[in-house]
Parts: sequence; C-alpha cells; structure tokens
Amino acid sequence: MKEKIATSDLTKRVAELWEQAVDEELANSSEVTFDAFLGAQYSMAFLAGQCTITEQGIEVVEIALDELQQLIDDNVESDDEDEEDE
Amino acid sequence: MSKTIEEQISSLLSEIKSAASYYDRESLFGKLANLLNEPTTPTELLHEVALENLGMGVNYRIAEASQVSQETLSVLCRNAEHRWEWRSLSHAYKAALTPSVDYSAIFKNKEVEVKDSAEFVLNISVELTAILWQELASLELITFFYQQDTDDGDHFGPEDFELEHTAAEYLLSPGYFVDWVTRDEYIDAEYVSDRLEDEWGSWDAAIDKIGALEHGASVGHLEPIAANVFGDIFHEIGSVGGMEAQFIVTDIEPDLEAIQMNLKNSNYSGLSNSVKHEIVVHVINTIEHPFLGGFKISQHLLKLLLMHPATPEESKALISLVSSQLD
Repeated sequence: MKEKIATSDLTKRVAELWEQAVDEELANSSEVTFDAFLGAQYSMAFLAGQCTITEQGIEVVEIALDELQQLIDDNVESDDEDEEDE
Repeated sequence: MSKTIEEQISSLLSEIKSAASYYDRESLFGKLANLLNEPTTPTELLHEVALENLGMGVNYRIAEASQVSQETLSVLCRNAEHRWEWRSLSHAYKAALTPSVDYSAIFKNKEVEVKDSAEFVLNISVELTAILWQELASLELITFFYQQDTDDGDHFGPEDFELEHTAAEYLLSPGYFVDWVTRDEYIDAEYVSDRLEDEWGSWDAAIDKIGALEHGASVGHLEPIAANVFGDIFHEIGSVGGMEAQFIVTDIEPDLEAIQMNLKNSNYSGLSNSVKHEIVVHVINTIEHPFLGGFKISQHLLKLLLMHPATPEESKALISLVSSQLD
C-alpha cells in the first residue's frame, strides 16, 4: 500500500512538471532526454489508469522527476537573470 | 500581326527543346499546356504534341481538350503514369463514348442493345466492379486492402490482384466510403515505437503516448498493455493529420447485411446465362482497347468473372482462351 501511494505521488509530480515543461515550451527533444520523455508518458498514462509501471519503469520515472525538476529550476533562474539584466 | 496558335505552339516546342534548366522547361510546359487546351487548337496538332510525350503536365491537358481524337487518346494512354492523366483520359473516353442507352439496366436483368463493346464496358465497368467485389466478398472468395493516402488518394480494393496503386484501382475502385464495408482503424503501435526515440515530440501527443506505452511494455518498464487502451487513446485524436496518417492501419471487412440489400437492386449472379455470356464477350473484346485494356480494367474484370461461381462454364472457357493476356 505504501509503495502504491509513493508511485501515485511520484507520477503526479512528474505529470505536473511535464505539463509545466509543455507550457514553457521545454518539452522537446533538444531540452529533454528520451528517458525523461518516457517517464512523463508513463506517469500520465498511469494516472489515467492506462498502464501499470514495473520496478524498472519506476526508475525511469525517477530519472524524469530529477531531470524535469532541474529543467524547470534552470528555466526559472534564467528568467530571473533576464529580468535583472533589464 | 499576332502569331497563329500553330505558330505559337511551334515556337514553344523549339524553346522547350533548347531550354537549359528544368525550371525554364516547366514554365514553357505550362504555357504550352494552356495553348493546347484552347478549343481552336487543331486536332492534328494535339496529336503531334502527344507523340512528343512531353510529360504528365502537358499530356493530361491534351486529354482535356474537347477536340482531341481517339487516336490521340490512345497515344496518351500508352504514356500515362499519373492519376491526373488517368482521370483526364477517363473523362475524355466517357465524353467520346457517351452511350445512347442506359447500360446499367442490364444488372436489373433488362435487355440492352450494345452498339460497341468499348462503349458498353466503359460505362458499366465501375458498377460491374462494385457488384462483383460485393458478390465475391459475400462468398468469402476475396478480402480487401485499404490504405489511407493523403497525397494520392486512398487505396481500396481486393487483395491478391496486384491492383494496389495501379490505374485500374484508381479508375475502378468505388472508393473508401462505400456503404458495404466496415472499417476498423487503429494505430500501428509497433511502428510508432520503432521511430519513437528519434522522432518523439514531432507527432500528435496521443501518438507519442501510444509509442511510449508500446515501448515501455516491450522493454519491461510497464506491465503488458490492456487491449482496449490503445483504442481509447486513438479516440483522443480528434482528427488525423497528414503526418499522423502514416501510422493508421485500417482493417476492412465486408458488411454482409448491406451487401445483401445492395444486390437486391442490381446484381450479376441473378442474370441469365446468355446475358452473363454477353458481358464476358464484350469485356474480352476490349482487352486491346488503349484505355480499358491498356490500364488493365478489362483484365481485372475478366479475372473476377473467371473466379465467380455464377459465371457459366462456356463463358469461363472463353476467358481461359485469353488467360495469357490477363497479366
């Protein structure tokens, strides 16, 4: 039960980050690795009840979490720097 | 003093022969095509230019000219390779061979007087094809292919006749939206998955998702995907654009109930043996016709008639005599 909740939280967070990356036009192959793309797709499909993620797949989702979090953070910092320059 | 149409065409032909670049030639072809389409262009001149075989852009415009002769159409048939040419030739022959009687009445077992085999076959070919495809499908003797094609038009017809992408398919197929087939569309998930790593993000989001799920299941990231899931995701795609169409597979099945209804009105099986034989004889007579035989329309019809259980043995024997000309 604990693992199921953890998977649910993890996938929810990755799906949110992916949505944010899409909104900020970062969800493309020049900004995101294939693994992060897969992790995001698995997460969204899991939340829609369309798949069950294996242990191996959870590792890919965790890679997506780290990478997408870093991407969003870097983008926020870059935006802040642009504002300071102005 | 302005040049006559003959002089203008002759001058353009000289320019085309000496044109250095592809773009120069294309521009001259366009001008020539417009002149050839003029109703005042002499029939003999159309024929002369047809013999030059300057390419599809010129040839299909010659076929469109109202004064074109059947002799010229025959030359154009020999050189036609593109659907624009097939289409313009079809219109030209229908104009040249307009029937004085309603030949389709023959499928309602009514007597018709046939003046010319080519005129008869040309005017019944599409209807006869549709009837034979339906009858043979209901007897489980043929199955169908369907291929979506946003560039050249969809492809639909019976399998195992080498009909796909041919002039005969283009000219005979009643089209994808006939009321007597059921269609099951789905995405070729394996094909999407194969291309996913290099191309994700360039397709519709639903196709990305299908590719990721197929990939995930194949490498052990996901448990096997339930059968209904891909169908549900497919319905997330509101419309299928040109690029996505390459992933769509359509399975076609004959709708036996609809076929039964259609064949009540017009059919081949119920015709008398003498009428069936008459049809066979007229189709055989057109094997060497530049349009009907040249594009293998007659040959396709004869193959269907030969395999049809309702074709009289005497007629089948006649078809067998020309079997070497059917391929």
